[in-house]
Amino acid sequence: MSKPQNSPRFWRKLLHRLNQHRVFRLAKAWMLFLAFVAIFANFIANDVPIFCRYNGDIQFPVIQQALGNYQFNKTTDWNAPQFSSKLMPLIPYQANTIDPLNSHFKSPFGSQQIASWRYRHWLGTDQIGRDVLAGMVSGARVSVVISFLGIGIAAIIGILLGSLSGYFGDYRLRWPVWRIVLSIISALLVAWLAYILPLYFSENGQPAHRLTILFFLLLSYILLQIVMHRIPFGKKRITLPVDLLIMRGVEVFSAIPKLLLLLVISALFPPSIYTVAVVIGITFWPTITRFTRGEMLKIRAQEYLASAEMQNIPHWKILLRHAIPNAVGPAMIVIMLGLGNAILAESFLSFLGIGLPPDVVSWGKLLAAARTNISAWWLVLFPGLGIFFTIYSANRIGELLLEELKAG
Amino acid sequence: MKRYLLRRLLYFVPTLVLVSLITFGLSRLAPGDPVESIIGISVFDEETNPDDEKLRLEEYARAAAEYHYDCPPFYFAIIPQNYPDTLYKIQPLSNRKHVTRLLRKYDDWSKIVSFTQEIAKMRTALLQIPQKPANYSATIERVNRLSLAIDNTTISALLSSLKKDQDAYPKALANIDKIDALFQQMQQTHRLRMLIPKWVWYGFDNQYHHWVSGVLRGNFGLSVIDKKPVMTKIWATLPNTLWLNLTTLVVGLIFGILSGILMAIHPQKWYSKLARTKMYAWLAIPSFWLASLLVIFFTTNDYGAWTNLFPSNGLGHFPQGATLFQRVFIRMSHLFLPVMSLAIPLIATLALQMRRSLAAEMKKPYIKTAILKGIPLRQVIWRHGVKNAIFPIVTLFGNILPALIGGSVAIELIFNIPGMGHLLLQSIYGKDWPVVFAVLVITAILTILSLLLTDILYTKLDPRVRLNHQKSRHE
Repeated sequence: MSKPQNSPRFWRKLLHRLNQHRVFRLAKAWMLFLAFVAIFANFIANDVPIFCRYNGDIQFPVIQQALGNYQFNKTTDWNAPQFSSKLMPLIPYQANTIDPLNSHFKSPFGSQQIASWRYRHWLGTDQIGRDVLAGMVSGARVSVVISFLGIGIAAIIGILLGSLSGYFGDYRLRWPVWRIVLSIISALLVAWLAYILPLYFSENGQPAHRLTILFFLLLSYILLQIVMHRIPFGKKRITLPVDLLIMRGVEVFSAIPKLLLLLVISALFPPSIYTVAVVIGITFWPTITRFTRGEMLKIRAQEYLASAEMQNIPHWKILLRHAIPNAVGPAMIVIMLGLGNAILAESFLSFLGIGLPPDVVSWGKLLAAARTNISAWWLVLFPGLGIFFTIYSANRIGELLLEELKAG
Repeated sequence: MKRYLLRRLLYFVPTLVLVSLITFGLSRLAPGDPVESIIGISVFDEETNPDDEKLRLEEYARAAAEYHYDCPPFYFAIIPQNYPDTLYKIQPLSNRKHVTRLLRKYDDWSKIVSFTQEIAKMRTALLQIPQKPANYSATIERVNRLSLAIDNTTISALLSSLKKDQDAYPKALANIDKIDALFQQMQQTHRLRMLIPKWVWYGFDNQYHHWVSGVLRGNFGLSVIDKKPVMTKIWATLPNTLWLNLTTLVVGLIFGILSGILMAIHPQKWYSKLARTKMYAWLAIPSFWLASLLVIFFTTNDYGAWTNLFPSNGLGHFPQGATLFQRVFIRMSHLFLPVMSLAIPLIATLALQMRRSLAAEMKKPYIKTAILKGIPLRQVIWRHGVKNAIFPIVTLFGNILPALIGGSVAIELIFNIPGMGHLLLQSIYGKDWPVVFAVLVITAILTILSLLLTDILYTKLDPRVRLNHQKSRHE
């Protein structure tokens, strides 16, 4: 039988066992490499130096760019004599730097008009002369941000709802009538305030401070629930069919094909990386919810939960301290698989030209650029390999995790 | 059994209702004015004849009434206390949006109405001036800006500059003082009233009701781009999508299940070992990437004439008097690459699932008993093992079709197949929202039907499920 999994020791042992697999080590290495590239993208592919000596002063233009106190401008000529020494990044181009001399699909193997081998386009260029390798670096960042953020949102919703659904089932949550009534009324009130307060505080009729207000409202709702938990409302109690309600929601959301829903929602909102991430979070939660619920049903049958219940520990404490931490391990499986799917979804969207702003270069967009010239194989092969390896790594980590959790 | 199926069918009704609500809610988020997209956008400036504008408004009202855009959006609404119940009647939408923003800022409905009306009156009066003085365009520009302004400072600045213009147009700008007085009063109201919600019941004459009853009759409205009924457009593309997806499904099921069975019963053979490692890779291949690669390498002469094997466009046209064999050949040669790019991930999913469940089944004691009894291995595998191991595939079945339809969007784009996915994309690019939401609803219905089919198949195949229902009926 599965043991409690909420100790650090369990995770250490699991990681040790996983590390015995060569595939896992490779997949982990690829994911870490990807994360590294995503975090340090500005230092890897940039058309300004990492470090330079300008009129004798030492400057770090890339760091300045990141911090927002950039002292140069777009037309700065880095080869001017004022720069006595400089260190360019590994790839001396930005994803949307246009190299007019090498436009119209320069092949990686063909001749390129470049100053020195340092400025070679190792993976070729696209139609307007943007470097594909720099695009790959930017694409890595876009993929990581969108998929991690999106799956993070989906995981929070999914684990929470799935745990509630599996833990309480249809019969276990019994609340006093008045508490239910008050909860519903206050939930409606919170929804109303979330709509009206941003309008009330607005200057020109457009909603303002939306996220801040939402955060405080949710916080106060949780506090209210905690307070209500302490109030004796009387003996009359009603069972809440938590499982039924949540699973019905999951059913509805899975009835619309995920990719189409993703496509339509992203097309409705102004393009941005964060929109895509949130939309992925909204469309991916049902899978995680369903899986976590299944795991929670197994955990629910364990003796340690029965023992905790018999010691009269309140439900929410059991849920937070024992049940959910044990469900996170198995949920990691479906989260890893979801990560692969999220990257697939992101590249699918940008391949179709929906969701991302025009100045952001991603793997899917590079792939799409090849559609105007189908002999530009380098625009298809390299971004595709990036997508493929990432999905493959995420899938394999998920599969191996499944195997090891089953065996352990 | 029948009762069980009936119950399952009834179960899908609330799901469908919720799906329709979600789709309708999303359609309300679509940017732009739906009525303007029907009648076409036109721009008004100082040269415009006020009569033209009036005609235009009449046309707008007619179109809005025809497509029920003059109705309230839903059966009921919960709105701030200071909003009027009949806000939805203000036309066009841009005016309604402007008045709503004023309402959020200045609270008092009656004053806002007279404020906007006075400004409109002033604008008409200005437009009707026969001899236009030198600084006329500056004045009309100010009035136009006033009719769009929201915040205090902009409005007061515009009002004070218009007061200076009053000498040039004493008649047209006669009501400027009245407007100013109204604005002073508007600023003095406190806005706390808007925090209190108000419930309004609108009845059945609403946009959602009309939309849903249209959908139930198969009427999804008109396409914005070419004014054709949405349903005709979808009907024209549905067969191509079904061709693509059903062929993929058949190919995927046959190859996936067979290779899964082979991998499970001969786990030590070289092909099983090879397939086991390869299948995980296949699973990770994005179908649109595979499709792009196939198009690049197998439809052009760039890499030698022998690689130009397949057509890359559409599903093929049949020449006059083509024989059945020719037809099949043309269709298949066009379908080969798209089906392959969609089927490979599907084959991998099915094969891995089949291998897992059959391997688990083959370890069970009853299989060993059957083998020890002397039943030929082939028979044991097919009659017992496969029959029991196929259930997880059946449950997967319900998820496969929606995933295929989603995935085929990109494939249809790459191979230029005029299918539903292609139509969806074109409509999204062209902001043709009625078509977009119709496709969404239709795919949702297809998904729900395929889930229902899965359920029926499952009950037909698995005696345990079937018997359980019969038992529960007798109890």
